[in-house]
Amino acid sequence: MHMEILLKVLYAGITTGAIYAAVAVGFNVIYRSGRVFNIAQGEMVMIGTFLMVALINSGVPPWGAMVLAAFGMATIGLLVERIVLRKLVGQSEMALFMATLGILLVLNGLGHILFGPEPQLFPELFGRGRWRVAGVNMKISVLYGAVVIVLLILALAWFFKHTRIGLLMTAVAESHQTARSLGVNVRASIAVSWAVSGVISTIAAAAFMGGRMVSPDIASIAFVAMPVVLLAGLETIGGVLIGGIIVGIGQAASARWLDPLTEGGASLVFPFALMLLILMIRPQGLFGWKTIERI
Amino acid sequence: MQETGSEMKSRNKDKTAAPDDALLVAKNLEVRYQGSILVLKNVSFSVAEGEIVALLGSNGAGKSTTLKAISSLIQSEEGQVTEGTITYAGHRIENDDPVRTVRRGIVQVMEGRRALEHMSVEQNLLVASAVTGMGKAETRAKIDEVFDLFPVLAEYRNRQSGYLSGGQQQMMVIGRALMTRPRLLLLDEPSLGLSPLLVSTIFNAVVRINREHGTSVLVVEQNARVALKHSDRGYVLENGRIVMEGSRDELLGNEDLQEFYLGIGASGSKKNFRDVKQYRRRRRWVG
Repeated sequence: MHMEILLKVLYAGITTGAIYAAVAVGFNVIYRSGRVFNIAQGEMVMIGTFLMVALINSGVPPWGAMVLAAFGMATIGLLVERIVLRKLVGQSEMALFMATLGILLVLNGLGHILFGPEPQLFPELFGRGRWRVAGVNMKISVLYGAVVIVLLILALAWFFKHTRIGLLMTAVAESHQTARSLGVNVRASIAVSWAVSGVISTIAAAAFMGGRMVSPDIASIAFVAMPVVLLAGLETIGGVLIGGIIVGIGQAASARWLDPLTEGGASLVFPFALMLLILMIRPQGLFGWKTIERI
Repeated sequence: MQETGSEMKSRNKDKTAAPDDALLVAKNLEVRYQGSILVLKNVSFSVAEGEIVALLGSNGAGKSTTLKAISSLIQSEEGQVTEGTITYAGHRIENDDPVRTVRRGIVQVMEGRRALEHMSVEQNLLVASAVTGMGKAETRAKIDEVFDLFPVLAEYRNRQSGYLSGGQQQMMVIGRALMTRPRLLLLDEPSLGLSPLLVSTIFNAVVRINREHGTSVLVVEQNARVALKHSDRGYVLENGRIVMEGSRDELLGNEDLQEFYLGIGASGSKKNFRDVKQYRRRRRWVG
């Protein structure tokens, strides 16, 4: 019986953690390629989700809708870079952050205008089947989603570590001006990262929204994913998987054992309490870049 | 009797200055920040193919701005060449895209070293080669060239560059610049904060790069003695204007330069340019 409860907690924690990791990796791809902390990442997921819903509702087959939505999100990412961020290359991180705050507000408003405030059903892409393993009821679509996200994150981590373009994008994250002095195209790096982040947002939506009612408020998932970003560190890609699993399992365990004692509050507070703790002990996160001060 | 700066400047136009078809020619350059703050005014200079040229001057004279105007890095500081021209290998390059400038063969090593701190020494070198689209074999050969020039870097090739010493970082960023196959190397204060021995190592390497690869060098320095020792010609920049130019020997023998930049007064006493009022320097140099 105890084993069954433990497995349930692990299943819930790992699959929830994968959702957080999917959102968190969108943050990190953009930060890792341009030193831009994109606070509008949740809005990117929301727009990706509703693009897919709109395409499916208009008769496009689900897989086709996912591909088209991915292209659409990549285009939105490129437009954001072209219209908003291009002029800010070389400016302070705060200036870039404030620009993404503006993007958040605009995309959020657009989401409400274009898709309306009413919740809509996101169709199941991976079917409705379930597996029962050691007494735990597992949704196949959620397991598929988690596998897709893990593979996607590992592929991105490999890309940044082993490819020429990944190396150049990392140089941009270190310093816009130094990268420019070496002839690295900083604008292109930022543009590519936003396009990739747009595609990731679509894949995250496809992987985890199946069978759920979605409204523009799903953008708030970015705030729950924030502790994962900070725990893993802003510059890591593969590290978000570990960050996601820690936060996910911690939250599931809080829900199982502490929520009954705290009227359901513990699981809500856990990620943010963890976030504060990380900021105090290790501000760069588990795998982030430590600032090197020369005295 | 010693020449004044203005006399030397006019004479040099005929004898020592590089010709107008030099690799780099800046003519009547005017640079402003934010469209209004005038930093360089009517600055003209040149760097011939295979030459090492020193650009000397005190803090705030406009030396770094001059380099950034050439490399176009000034644009991200809201600066712009508002008048005059910069011609490199026959192409006008003022206010060009910095990426294109590097591809043309100009690379700037910025002041303060600017290592990509979280990357290893080798990754720093690879970033620069990746930009040029170099093949694997050539990249390997270039890296070996850099390690031959600065053997200490080979020892630390896998070390995170942020944890190198200041001197090692300076070597690395010069080596990194070489990975872009430059025809013109712009060096901004390479001696800053380094011991005399390291400064000598760095400048000897610069001379070696110049001799072995024919790379032209424009070096900005406050350490006039070291810079001139290793240069063919030099210019002195004061308050955004060129006030003196000449060959190495002419500048080293100039009384004003000795007094204000080498710290040797006419009477043998050491004197710094800061001890002399601006109007007196201008009177001597501009005439």
